[in-house]
Amino acid sequence: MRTRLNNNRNGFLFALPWIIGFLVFSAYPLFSSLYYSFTQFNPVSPAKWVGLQNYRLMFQDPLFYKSLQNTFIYALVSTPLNLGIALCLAALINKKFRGRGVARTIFFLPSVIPMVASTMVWIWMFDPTYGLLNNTLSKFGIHGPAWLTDPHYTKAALLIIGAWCTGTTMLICIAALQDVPNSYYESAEIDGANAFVRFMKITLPCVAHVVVYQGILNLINAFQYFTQVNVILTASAGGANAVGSGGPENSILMYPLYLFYNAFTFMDMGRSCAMAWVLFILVGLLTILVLKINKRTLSNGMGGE
Amino acid sequence: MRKCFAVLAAILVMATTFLSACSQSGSDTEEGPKKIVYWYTSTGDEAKSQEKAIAGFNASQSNYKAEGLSVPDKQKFIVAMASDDSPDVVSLLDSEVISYQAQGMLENLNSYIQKNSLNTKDFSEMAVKSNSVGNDVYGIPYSVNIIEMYYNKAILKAHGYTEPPKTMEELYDMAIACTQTDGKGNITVLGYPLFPLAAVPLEGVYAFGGRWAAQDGKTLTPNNQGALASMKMNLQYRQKFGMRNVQAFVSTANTNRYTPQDAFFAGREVFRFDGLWLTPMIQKYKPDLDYAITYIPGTKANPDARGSSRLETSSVAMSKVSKNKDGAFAFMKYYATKGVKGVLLATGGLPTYEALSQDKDILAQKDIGTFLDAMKLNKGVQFPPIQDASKYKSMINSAYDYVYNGSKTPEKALSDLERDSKSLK
Repeated sequence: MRTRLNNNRNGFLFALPWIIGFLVFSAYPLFSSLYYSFTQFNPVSPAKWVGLQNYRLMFQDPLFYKSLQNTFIYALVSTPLNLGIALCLAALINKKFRGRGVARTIFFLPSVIPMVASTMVWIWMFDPTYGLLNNTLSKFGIHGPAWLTDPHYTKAALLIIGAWCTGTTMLICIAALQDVPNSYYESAEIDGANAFVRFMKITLPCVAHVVVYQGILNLINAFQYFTQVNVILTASAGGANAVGSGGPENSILMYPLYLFYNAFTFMDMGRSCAMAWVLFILVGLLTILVLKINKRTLSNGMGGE
Repeated sequence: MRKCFAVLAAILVMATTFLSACSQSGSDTEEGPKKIVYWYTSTGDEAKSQEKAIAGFNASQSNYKAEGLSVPDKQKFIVAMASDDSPDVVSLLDSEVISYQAQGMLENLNSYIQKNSLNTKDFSEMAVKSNSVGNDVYGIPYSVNIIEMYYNKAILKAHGYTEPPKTMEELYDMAIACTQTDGKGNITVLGYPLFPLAAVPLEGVYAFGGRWAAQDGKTLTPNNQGALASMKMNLQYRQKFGMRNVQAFVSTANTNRYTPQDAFFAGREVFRFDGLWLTPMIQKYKPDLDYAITYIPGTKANPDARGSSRLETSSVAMSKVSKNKDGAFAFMKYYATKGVKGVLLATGGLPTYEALSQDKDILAQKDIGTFLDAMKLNKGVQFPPIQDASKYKSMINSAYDYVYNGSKTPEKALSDLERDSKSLK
């Protein structure tokens, strides 16, 4: 008993630096932002208690709903799209062929390129007159759209950028695929199953737990989508004209970007704290929903009986 | 017991290291000149002129040492204020001075002006007023910006025009005649001044006599006839050549703005509403461009609107949390009176300090005469100096977006803007 107490105490003491760091850098800012969401304040003025005013004004703001709508659409489309692409690429790369290592590197490269630099290049690629994308489309007789200035295509442009850097997810899927026993595939081949059936009946169920986990992570990341839209709006919308801009018809005004604008452009930090907590609750609820829907695949990582 | 002691000692050492690393560095208790930090927005060659001004200040006295930093993103200033790591002096537009002072982020300069015997009457009265709230001065203006109409003489001549337009109606006719497209409908030469984007809701509206606020500067007037007429003419041009084609051209032009591939330098833009800073760029990138400058047109119904333009000042302001306010003001005074000459020559700015208005080097700048003449017309329009100026601008740009994409008529867009702007402070 005494030894166990000693061990517990020592374990706690060793964990104490992390606990202090967590309390100071995570818990304290988290609960401070909850307090500040009920106040009106900016960088130099002391916080003034305003109760639920920030929440009330936020729910009356049409741009709040617009930014939420944009973010939801992006998250719900990009998550399965990127997962699907990553899984397909992983399934292809997992096969043994010459140059597999090079192919793996090429597909992973976009994930290590700095996001700001790559987004600047994508702005050029999306140029409606001289961009690579429209020039390629024109060779097939397709008149490409103004990707970043036509509100019907702005989200498609963001999805293309997102689909281009699925390297990290691909690598994790490769690791999961390598965990699937070969004997399953051999048995299936003997039973006459083709490649598609093997993929759907063996591969997918066996990696489902990893896919779901990646799906949740991608969903959370999608709700934090900020860098690319900020760079696009600042670089392509016209410099000073981009202040508080959400793109054509606010079609790429993402929730985190609008939160940022409220804090650092419109200097309404209380409102941005309120927005942060609403986002936290929404993402939390969505995560619980995803976990509940996939409870069956999570409980049996080997694909079920 | 000894093990526990060792663990506790290790934690104490880690905590001490951690806390000392987080403590603020660089207090002003060291001997030697006190540090003043100045943030400016210039980049490239313009930034070099800023650094020269800073070096001049440092050489002129020994009490302070100014250090400059190019920070084009204004939001960084707000973040810096929040982290108590803000610069002492920052370069802002007058609308930003008004907006930031309303948030309590800038120091009232009245006492420093008195203490340092800076005579604000030596500056353009209008420029000082645009940086003040009542009698309280929050920014020292060092440069004033107005907009004129640059036009490509060669293109106009090729279409039989020997004089630039004086009214927007004339401009529209010339724009239609001079716009060129390729066989697929893509625009190769843009006739109507739709770019730079910032000019469209400002000079593009002022030309029609429109204003975004009433004379008091506080009562917002988004649903005004001038803005409506401007939007309609803009839309008419876009519909004539195809909304998609025009948007594609403007999008590409915007990406290339102020680069060697700029549409105006490349002879692909007939009319351009822009500032004096365009001239040094033309000299650098396309010195043989056949262009001229004239006033922004008015309209047939409102010929007096000719020569209207936004009026903005670039100013230096002091952060409320500056750690060295006396030094900050010493720098601001030097910069706005002596140091700024090199900056104006590099950036093509117009001086606000009266003594510099007579400086031979300043007056020798190409095209400055036209701009100084335009200043004398006294038709500069200040964007409403309200706390939510950024939000108002953003809403106006959104309204234009909805019209450009055909989602709303100009009437509906402005009506919705009027409704939405009621919540602005």
